[in-house]
Amino acid sequence: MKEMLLEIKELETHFFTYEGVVKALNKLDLTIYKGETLGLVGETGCGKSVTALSILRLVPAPPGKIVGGKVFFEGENLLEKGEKEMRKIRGSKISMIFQNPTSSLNPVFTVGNQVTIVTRTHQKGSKREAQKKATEMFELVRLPDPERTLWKYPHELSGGMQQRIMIAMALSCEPSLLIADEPTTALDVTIQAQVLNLIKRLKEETKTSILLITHNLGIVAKMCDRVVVMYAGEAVEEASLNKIFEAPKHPYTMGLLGAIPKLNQKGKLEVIKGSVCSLIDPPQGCRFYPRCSSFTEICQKEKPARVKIEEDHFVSCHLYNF
Amino acid sequence: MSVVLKLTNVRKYFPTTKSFSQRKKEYVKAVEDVSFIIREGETVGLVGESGCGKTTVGRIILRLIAPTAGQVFFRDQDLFALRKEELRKTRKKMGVVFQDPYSSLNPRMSIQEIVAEPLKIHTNLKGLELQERMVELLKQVGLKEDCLRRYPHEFSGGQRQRIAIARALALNPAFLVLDEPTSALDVSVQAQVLNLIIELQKELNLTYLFISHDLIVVEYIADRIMVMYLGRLVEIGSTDKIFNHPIHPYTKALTSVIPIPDICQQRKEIFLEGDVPSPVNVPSGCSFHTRCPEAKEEVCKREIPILKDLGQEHWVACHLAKVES
Repeated sequence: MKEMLLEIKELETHFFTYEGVVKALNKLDLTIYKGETLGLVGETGCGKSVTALSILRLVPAPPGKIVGGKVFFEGENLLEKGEKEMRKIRGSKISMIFQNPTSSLNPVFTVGNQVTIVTRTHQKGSKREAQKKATEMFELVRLPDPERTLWKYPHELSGGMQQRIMIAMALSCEPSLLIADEPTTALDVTIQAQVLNLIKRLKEETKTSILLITHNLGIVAKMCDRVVVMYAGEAVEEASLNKIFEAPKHPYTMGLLGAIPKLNQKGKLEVIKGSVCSLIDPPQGCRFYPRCSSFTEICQKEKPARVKIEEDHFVSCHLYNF
Repeated sequence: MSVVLKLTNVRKYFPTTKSFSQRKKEYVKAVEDVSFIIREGETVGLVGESGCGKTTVGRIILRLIAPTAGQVFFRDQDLFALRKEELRKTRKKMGVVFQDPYSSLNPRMSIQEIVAEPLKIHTNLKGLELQERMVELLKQVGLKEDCLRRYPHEFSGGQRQRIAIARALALNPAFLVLDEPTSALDVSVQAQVLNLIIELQKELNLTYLFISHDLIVVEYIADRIMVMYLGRLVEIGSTDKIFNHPIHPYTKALTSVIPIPDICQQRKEIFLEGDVPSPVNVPSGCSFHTRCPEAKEEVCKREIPILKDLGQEHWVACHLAKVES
């Protein structure tokens, strides 16, 4: 029986800009179970990163604001917690690694310093103990010569090594949930493979749950147990890895899979006509209907409800509203 | 099939000074001893990770930068020996599409001005004829006439890339260099632009050099693939050979770790240790030997391997590769 770790219910995050209110997340529902890697996929602007920032209450405010919904983590609603309580959670219970390690690491501090700050903030212990822990973490992430690396500055290390340090930092307090936002997009293919393999191995060793945010379905196929597909601020489909790839149900998911080249397959790529709707002035009903080849009248008027069509498979689409 | 492009022993070193004293001059060895041909009607993919030299090769072919050594022949004409007027004529036969649709279009020029520019410089088209040609070009890339009056910022990334393609096709080139044309685009937009690129090739009998780090896209679009590592070509072959029967250890590792969006096609991964060495300090002998899982011979450290033809147009630069009889 799977145990729930994080449950997002009807999350709404808006950005108040001069051009209007950007409704970045529109009643998003999402669940992460203990011990799993959940892939959060979608194209640019669909709200994947905003979801991560909303969970950790790091949405820049202004202009952003979480205007509705609930985020239950280990049974408690994170949206009701004060900043002091959130600071105890960030970095220790829920950690995050970002796309570009170069801009996530402080250039004026040694990497050892940056990792020990995390452990010393959240755990009791002396400086020496924190350094010992940092060295252990560096060994865990297979950094060459861990003890000497503690004293290096970020610019002295390659992109791949910087990302390993980010991972070390994120895992140093043994979080229950690691949010990885496009962790390998800025890295070369062979380095990406090393880092993804590392994340996979560490997950098996530490049993941390992972929310892996990416636009790359190849990475999803390699890393994830379950997948949530997002479109224009909503979760349109949520299913196990096999079901998403072999039997997708939402027209957008099907379109997305048809649009990507797969190895050893020729033939024209499927095109999803049109482009993403405006998030300031989105369509009233389903946000995907203007581009959907299967849309009906009700799609224009009502937002489809999240429906369970089989075990481990949820879709938000009027085609499946029985 | 006639040869459209031929490179022989092209080298490009960029000077760099490490210390203020400028006593010791060092070079970024971006491209080293690159030779290959491209035939009419082909799509040749040039792949490799960042810093391998693929974009530099593209720029040399377009004569945007001069090589340190070696030659580039476009239809038997030595590109770098051409004088001003001859070069101008030859330039018409080559087009280019760059990666970033946001910086490759002048934001202060309307689409009309952007597409008309090559036509005004190289042809005598004026007035109605010029207008008709521009509308035709836009139609070819799936855009309407009213786009002409608008400015780049009013279009999406995918549309801007179409405008860039229209501009590249303005003078009816025979050959296009596409440098990461879809890397900055979302998946669904990428599909539209790739379909367009393929259609145009058939319609206009174009030859493509498709430079990319995205191996899945290259596998889809290319007939032949050239793999670069630290400035050198390590393997050349048909797409099928490169992806399904690679010989060079780097190609083997590279093709084994590309994330494939298909759960049935997952491959056994070969992980390379460490990082790519700096092109300022290229390792001795085979530049890949420091990371090669198969490098065991002394020869790998001592001698630079040369591209050998293993038969069926499959070339590999590796001391350990055996020549098929």
